Amino acid sequence: MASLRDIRKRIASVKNTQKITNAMKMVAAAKLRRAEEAIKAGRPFADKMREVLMSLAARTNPGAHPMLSVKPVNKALLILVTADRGLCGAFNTSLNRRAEAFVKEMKAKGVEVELLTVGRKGNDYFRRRPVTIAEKFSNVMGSISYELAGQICNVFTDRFIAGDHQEVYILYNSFRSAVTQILTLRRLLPITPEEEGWQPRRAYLYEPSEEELLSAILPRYIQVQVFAGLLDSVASEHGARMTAMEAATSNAKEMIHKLTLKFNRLRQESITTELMEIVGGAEALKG
Amino acid sequence: MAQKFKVELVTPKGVVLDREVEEVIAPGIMGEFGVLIGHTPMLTFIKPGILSYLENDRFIKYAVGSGFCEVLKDAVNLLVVEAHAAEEIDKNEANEELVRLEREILEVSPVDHPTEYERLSDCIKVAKAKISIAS
Repeated sequence: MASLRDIRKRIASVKNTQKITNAMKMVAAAKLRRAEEAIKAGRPFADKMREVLMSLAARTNPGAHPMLSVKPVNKALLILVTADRGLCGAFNTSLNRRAEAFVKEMKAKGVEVELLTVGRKGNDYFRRRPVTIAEKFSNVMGSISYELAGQICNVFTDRFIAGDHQEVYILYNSFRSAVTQILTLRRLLPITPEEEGWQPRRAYLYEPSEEELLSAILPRYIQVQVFAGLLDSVASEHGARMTAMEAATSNAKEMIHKLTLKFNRLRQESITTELMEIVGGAEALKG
Repeated sequence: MAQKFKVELVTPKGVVLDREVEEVIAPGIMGEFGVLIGHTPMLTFIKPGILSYLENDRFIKYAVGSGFCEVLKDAVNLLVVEAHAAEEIDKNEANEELVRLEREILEVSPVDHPTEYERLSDCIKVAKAKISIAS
């Protein structure tokens, strides 16, 4: 049986934890707001890029650029975007589990999957598993930028063009609202016109040639896609952390309540026992 | 007064400029080009340099990174990796940045890391453009 002092200590420690989780919640909420703004700010660029690409690419034949060419697949690359830190509920676990399922799925089809992890948690999870991690970007989620997306893109487009991988996928949590994140798996490369819904081109003057323009726009288009994925993932992470910390704070509150009840009951019991003892002692003295 | 048309300057960080102007001069890959209303629709690259637009007989300048430009009959859309308005540039900071970048680029071999080299040389061009338009 826990003594009074033990319970008092427990309460104090839970209270401390509650303070921490509450603070983390506030921080996540503030960061979430900033991340949401970044998503909004990045959207016009991505939309415009897509528009321009659509109007450009429909007429060119698939052989025009290596990024458009579909080849038989025996090796694929999965870009796994996770968080760098934990304490955000099922955010990382669901990503990792989905990635593992994907690797199995592809293996059944005879395709070997290598990973490119962005964020520490994905790397930590797969380091001890029989999956090759081709490249890792760790501790970067705190400062994502368009340049970082470019660095990631360089890694996988080089491999794709060299023929190391015939397909590139990206897996991340896309941001819907603070409480809902949607696990998103998309194919980045090769780009297939039908999927993207390309439209007939507009009557433009192209300077330089259309092929040259296309070959410059495609890598940027991919970069924008990756950048959008990163932004979404960061916002989702903060959303998930906020929700998780909110839950933790209310759990702590409930625990404190229960412990306080127990503490009071125990205190009363001990007072009663003491009183009984005093009364008993007095009775004995009377003789 | 010349007729006006819409110009939009967009970077991954957001819309930098969205207004009605009389003329735009942009640093195209095939040389600088000016756009007035009614220009033939055109699509071209932008190389790092100075973008300016004319509004009320005054040129307003921006230092821009690489990207591309879509010219329509009554609008110009520019998509670039970065853009800085002249009045927002701190000349000292830009100078320091240039010195730092020039030191960095010396350590990168253009043969071994062509993409990194290109990125840095683009940054240098942007920094130079920033310095030249900073007041």
